[in-house]
Amino acid sequence: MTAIPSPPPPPPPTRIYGLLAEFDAPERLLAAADAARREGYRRTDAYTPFPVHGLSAALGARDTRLGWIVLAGALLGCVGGFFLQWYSSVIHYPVNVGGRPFNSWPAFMIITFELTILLGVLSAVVGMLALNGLPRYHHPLFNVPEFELASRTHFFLCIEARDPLFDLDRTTAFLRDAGASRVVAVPYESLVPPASPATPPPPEQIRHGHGPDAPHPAPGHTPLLLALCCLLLVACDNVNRGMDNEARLEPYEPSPFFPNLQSARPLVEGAVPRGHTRADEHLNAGTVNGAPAETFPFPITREVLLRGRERYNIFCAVCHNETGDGQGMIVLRGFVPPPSFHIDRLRQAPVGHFFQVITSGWGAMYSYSDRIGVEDRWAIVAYIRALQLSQGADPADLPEHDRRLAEEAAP
Amino acid sequence: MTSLFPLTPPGGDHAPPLIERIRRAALVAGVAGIVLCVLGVFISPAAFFRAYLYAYMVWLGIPLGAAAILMIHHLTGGRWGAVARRTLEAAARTLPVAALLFLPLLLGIQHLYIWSHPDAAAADEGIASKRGYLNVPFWILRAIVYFALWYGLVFLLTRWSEREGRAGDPADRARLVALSGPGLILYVLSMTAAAVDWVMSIDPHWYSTIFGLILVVGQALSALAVAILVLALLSDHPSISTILRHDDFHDLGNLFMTAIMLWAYAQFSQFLIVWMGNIAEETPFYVARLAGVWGALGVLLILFHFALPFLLLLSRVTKRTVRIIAAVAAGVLLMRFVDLAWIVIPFANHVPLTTPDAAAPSAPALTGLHWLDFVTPVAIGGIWTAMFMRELARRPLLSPADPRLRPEEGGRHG
Repeated sequence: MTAIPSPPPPPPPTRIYGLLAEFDAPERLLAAADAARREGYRRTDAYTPFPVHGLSAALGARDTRLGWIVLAGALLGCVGGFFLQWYSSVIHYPVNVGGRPFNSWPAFMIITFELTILLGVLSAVVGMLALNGLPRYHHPLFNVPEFELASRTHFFLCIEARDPLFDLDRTTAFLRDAGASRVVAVPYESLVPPASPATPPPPEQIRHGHGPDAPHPAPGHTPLLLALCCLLLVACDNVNRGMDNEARLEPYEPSPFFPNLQSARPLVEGAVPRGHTRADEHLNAGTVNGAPAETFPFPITREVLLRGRERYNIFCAVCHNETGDGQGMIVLRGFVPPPSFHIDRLRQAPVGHFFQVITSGWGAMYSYSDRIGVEDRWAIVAYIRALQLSQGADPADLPEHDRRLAEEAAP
Repeated sequence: MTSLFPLTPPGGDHAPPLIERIRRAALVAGVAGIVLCVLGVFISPAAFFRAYLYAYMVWLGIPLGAAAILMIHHLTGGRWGAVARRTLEAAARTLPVAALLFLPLLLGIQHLYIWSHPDAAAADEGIASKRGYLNVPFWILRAIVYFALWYGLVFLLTRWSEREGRAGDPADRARLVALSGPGLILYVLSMTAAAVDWVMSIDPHWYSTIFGLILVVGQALSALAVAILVLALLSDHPSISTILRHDDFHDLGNLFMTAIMLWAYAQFSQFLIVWMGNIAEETPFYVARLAGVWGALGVLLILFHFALPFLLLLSRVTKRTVRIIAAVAAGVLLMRFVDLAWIVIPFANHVPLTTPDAAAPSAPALTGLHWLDFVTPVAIGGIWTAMFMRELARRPLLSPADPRLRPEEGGRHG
């Protein structure tokens, strides 16, 4: 610095954003903000390292519109959340869940509540940013180097130049009387040289962001440390080999060790995966001597039928419907309808036929062999037989109690 | 300072005359209510005891809730607690009166609790299996333990606080903080057990694990409502108006809204779980409460115990205007009676006490509300309010040693 002979005096800024007053303690800032409001200043703002209770009242901050934005967001979440569930469960995709009404509003409450909170919070964040004019790249206050103390130790009050009462000299004097330890004019542009020297000289405290005597940040050790860390990371490899990086071959990896240059060895000829033996033709293919089986491969007990009903309602009822009439929920939504189980052709069909359809698919129905085991397929077939019986049963076959119930239900 | 903080108990002319007026009126109402209650015992003991139990649970909630709010304040701090502290302590100190008012229930065990009938247990396997817990001597013993525990908490809370106010010893502050954490846990656990004993056991088959919490949150709500009402009533008194700020009502209002939401949360959680489970052991609770007059009271609860106060308290204006927030607090305090009536009375109605030793064998089945349900809150409330006003006048209404109430320090939350 001494090498430069008599630097020219710092040029005054052309346009001033406002006056920034610095205070040592929150109480002084509060008092000054209060005094500014009483004086009639309206375009004021304060900057503090921590929230100062009562400051917004001292600044005369009016109720913002944020509360209404949050309320609107919360109401939207509340109504929208309920509507989404109500529409999908009542109008578009009504599914009977445990015998409850389609409009199971108590169950909708949780998601309604969550969406109320979610949209309320999101609109609070977005609304706060929007009302504050954020994000923005720069603010004139950052042209004052001391301003960074606002996030550390000092308390600032800014009276903006667009305030009708603003007058550079009088406002400066007012702020100093209000207890400011320093008053700084905030320039709009820090880099543009002054257009006219005729602007009034600023108070002697004015400092310019990038003036010739502005301190430059000392070069730290950060780059060196970063480089060292990278070196250490590189060194870690191969030193501490974990189990995630073992010296072994991946499947299908090339390997010069074997004649065919593959790491994987072929299976022994005739190997069968565990549980995949298919020796019993009746059980596994649903055929007896190549023709669809007329009988079940194992005795059908009450447990088997109950299991079949459970599996049927899980896998089949969406299309075939719970009664087997082929009018399931997916069909009602436009899917190709399967035939009813209660037509003559299917009443006459051998049980092996149903088994084969489940195993291999039929028409629009794809194979279920990968998700329903063979025993379960037979259980479902048994349940289909029970459904067929139920739809064409003779009342005389019913037990006494059930017959009475049926007669009472359908007079 | 002495002009702002009455250091000596403001007896006689120092106490706001309003307190004395309320005390006299409450005493008159209480005595009149007791006369009617005595009449009611002879007309229909079954109706009297269920009415007495629900009203008692409301009024008991105020001292207990006050103790809980005090402990929360000691743990968290804040100016709202500093201004409400003496009021809450006065409410908590009425606990011995509340314990005395519990005694009539001992006479009503046979009328309220079916498990107290030996032949009921013989006829019902469910009751027989709970005899080890639900029997009269053990029930009385537990009640003694609860009151002893609560009185111990209140005694220490108010004694150390009063000493701190007089001597300003920081050790007392530390004691209060150390007591409040375990104290809150003990209070919630013991109140849950008391709720099971006194209310839930009316129907020995029905159970809900959140039941105690519903009552606990309701108690905190009642105590906050009373604190807001008292501060609002006394806000014109010169020694208080200089200290009390709109910010204090704002903070109390926020806390009040939180308690209202927590109450709704607990009530709805129980309902949702029972509704989803839809099993025969749990649904009778709501079957009995969703029809007839109880269904109407349930709608009233949703509207005026939750929706309206919640929407009103969203606004800053409500929380900062003394008259409005006092009106909201009064409304919610009124709804506390509806809440507990809705919880307690249908229990007693749908569990029949048909054994011959129950009085009035030919009494018609009680289903809806009874005139005694309106008398007992006045009888218990009159006595309780008179005692509360007496306690309120006995000590300074603002703690003189509390640094949070000094004007120059008042701006900061601490």
